Amino acid sequence: MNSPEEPAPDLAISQEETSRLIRMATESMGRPVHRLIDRLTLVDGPDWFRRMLAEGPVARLGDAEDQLVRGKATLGELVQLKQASKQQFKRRADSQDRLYGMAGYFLSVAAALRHHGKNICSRPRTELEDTLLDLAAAVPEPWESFLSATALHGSHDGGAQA
Amino acid sequence: MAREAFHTTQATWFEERIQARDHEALNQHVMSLYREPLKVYYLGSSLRGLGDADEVVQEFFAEWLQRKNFLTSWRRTDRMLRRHLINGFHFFLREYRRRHARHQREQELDEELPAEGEEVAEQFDRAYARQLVQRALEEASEACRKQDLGQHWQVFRLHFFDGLPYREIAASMHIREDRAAVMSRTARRRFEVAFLGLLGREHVSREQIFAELQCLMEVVRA
Repeated sequence: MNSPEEPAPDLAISQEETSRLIRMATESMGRPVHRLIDRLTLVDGPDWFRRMLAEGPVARLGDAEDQLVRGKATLGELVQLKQASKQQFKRRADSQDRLYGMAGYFLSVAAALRHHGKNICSRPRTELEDTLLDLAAAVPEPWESFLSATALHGSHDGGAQA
Repeated sequence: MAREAFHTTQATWFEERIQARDHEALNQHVMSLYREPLKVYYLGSSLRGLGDADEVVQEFFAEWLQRKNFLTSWRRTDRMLRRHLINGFHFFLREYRRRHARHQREQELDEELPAEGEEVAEQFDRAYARQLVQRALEEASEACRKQDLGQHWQVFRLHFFDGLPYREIAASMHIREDRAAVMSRTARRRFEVAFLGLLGREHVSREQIFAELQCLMEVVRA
């Protein structure tokens, strides 16, 4: 395996790889969550994320890290949070409010999967994992580890029910 | 919205360069993306015997990109830049043939160029798609290097191109598996930003970019 210090390897690509990369970019662009990821990856993304936790639907739970990352929220609370977030995303005209709603939606879904082994949204598991990994790459710790572990491993006990 | 802001900036990339008379940047963009596809087109065409592909395409760029209205006239049309270039290339080849075949009889020189088959155009489109992706990979690799994300790029390459599972990559790099997955996503996003940025230079709106992506999907699927 090359170390990162070695010169960049040859980037010549095959037709099949070209096809996969274009498909990947197309799918990414087509997903609504990429509006949220775009916002999170701006320079002030970490500050925006903290404001979202304090001002968005997630704030109703109290300490977001305790409730979502460390799993204090009950499944019922997470379902309620998901619904409230979804409503905010759908009904608000303001783009920031809508993004707050989208963030709350995916954080509640991730917490339900991670701590209760339940997929509380209608998205197929593979699509959800993909989305959570993309989000993980755009948020600060401990949220990155929480989302990436959820995407890769599901619940603490290793699985998730549909 | 970040993506919208990004696209707004990128959508005017061509106009900004035209207004600033930054022909070098425009020409550089066109040559780096279209040199290989035009060579593929030329070699697949009925005129491939006119000369060396590198020289023919280079001469086309040297002559036609100097024409002030060649790129600006494209901005006033609805057609894709690659179609505009192929049209120009056809005219150029006709002139080129006149210049380089003086020994041929007059009536032969006056003959219209034969229309090239769809297959040649498809080869051109596939070469363009590959060149676009190739260039985006290079830009993304460079962006990762500059941002001290060389290891992220390495993880992405090993996972995407070599098909290694995150678990295996993580073990060899002494990092957690979920961390490897996130690193790969970070690098992958650099590619997506570079790729969409390149498309955004030639396409105005998000809808146009999406339509072009669908078109490219068809092209590489064929």
